[in-house]
Amino acid sequence: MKTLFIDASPKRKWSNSAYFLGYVCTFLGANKNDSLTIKLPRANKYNDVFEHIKNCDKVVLGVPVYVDGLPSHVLVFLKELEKFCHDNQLTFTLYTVSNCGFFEGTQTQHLLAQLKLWCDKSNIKWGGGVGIGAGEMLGFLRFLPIIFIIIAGVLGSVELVSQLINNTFSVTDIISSMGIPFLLIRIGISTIFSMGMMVKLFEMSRKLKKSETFDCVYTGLILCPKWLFMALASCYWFIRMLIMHKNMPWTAFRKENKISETK
Amino acid sequence: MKLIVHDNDGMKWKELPSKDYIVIDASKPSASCFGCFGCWLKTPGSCVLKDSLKEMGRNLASVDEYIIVSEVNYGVFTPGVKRVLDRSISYLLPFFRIIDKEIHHVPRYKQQFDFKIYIYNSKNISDLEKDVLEKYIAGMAINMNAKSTQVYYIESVEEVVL
Repeated sequence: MKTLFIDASPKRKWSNSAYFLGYVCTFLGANKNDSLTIKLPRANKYNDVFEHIKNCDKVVLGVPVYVDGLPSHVLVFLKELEKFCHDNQLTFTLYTVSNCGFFEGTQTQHLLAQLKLWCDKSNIKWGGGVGIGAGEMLGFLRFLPIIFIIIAGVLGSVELVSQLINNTFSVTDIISSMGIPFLLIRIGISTIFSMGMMVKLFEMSRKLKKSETFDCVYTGLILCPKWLFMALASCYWFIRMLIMHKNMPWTAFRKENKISETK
Repeated sequence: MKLIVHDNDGMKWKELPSKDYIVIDASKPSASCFGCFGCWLKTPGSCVLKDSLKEMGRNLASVDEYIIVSEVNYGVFTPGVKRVLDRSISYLLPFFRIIDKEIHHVPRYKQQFDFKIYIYNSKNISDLEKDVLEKYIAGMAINMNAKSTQVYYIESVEEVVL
């Protein structure tokens, strides 16, 4: 085995880090003998990961930005890994795919610089990093085509039922009620937003394949102005808190009493 | 009021009066943030994990000085101190604003704090690591809506000025 992909997101399901790593893995076209994707386990259970790393010459770390830098659970892992690298004189190359919720991919730069420092201290070769902005939104966009198709299906079903009630049947009317052209346009737009990320991850996979190194490149949503990103992000949070937590949107602004006021 | 987050018992933190100081020992075990966004969406303003770091947003809103006392690893704080920072995002809103052409979070509270960071055991920190650390702190200070930021390199935690 030569390339190990590590999803270092603490999310158990649907992590954006795993989503972005999936692109690199797919573009790499590696078979099961050449690559392995694993989830970073909880603290003190790193032995399996270390054994995998021992057998690799390339490691690709997928990691989210937490408060501008490396998340605390990843720091714990890196401290242990540094010791393991020294003890076993490991010589792999570290590549990184990092994502942050902000629009600009450049806001991952501190995290990538911290990982480069880790490489220096651990005598590990820095392969390069892709910093992705709007990570949460790009992660959500993967579900958008499915949501659009479901909506089109519901509209078509409503039309079919109304035709059955009226004792008529027209395939053309059903298709037209589904708004296929608009459906394709909407799917196309959401795919275009993700194209910058896809291109950078494709380029990274080429470098990985040739075992070449690069420094850091940044990407994010393309063809989307900042004001639109901010508006879409606000709508996303409001809808998510309403649907997933049954909280009214205005409760998002709730303030806790200051400690001096409660004493 | 001042908030102190430290990972070293070298100072007599416990002797500080609780009416003036909130002291958090980051070397004690606590859960890491797992990125659920619950502190923004489910219980806005406080973390969903019920432990001593649950009310970090409220702590930050109550102080006018935020002091971090930490060693540095790879241009970032120790895991314990970073864990406290990761659990503090309830201090902010999930929404965005633009500062100097960059997108940052909107603050939940009007209150701002002076950010003072003391890095101890700093004799062997390279210039490169200091550069990475200072840029990281500057970026974080904007996102945390700090009023001012100072970084001090010290040898021993006893040099911290309270």
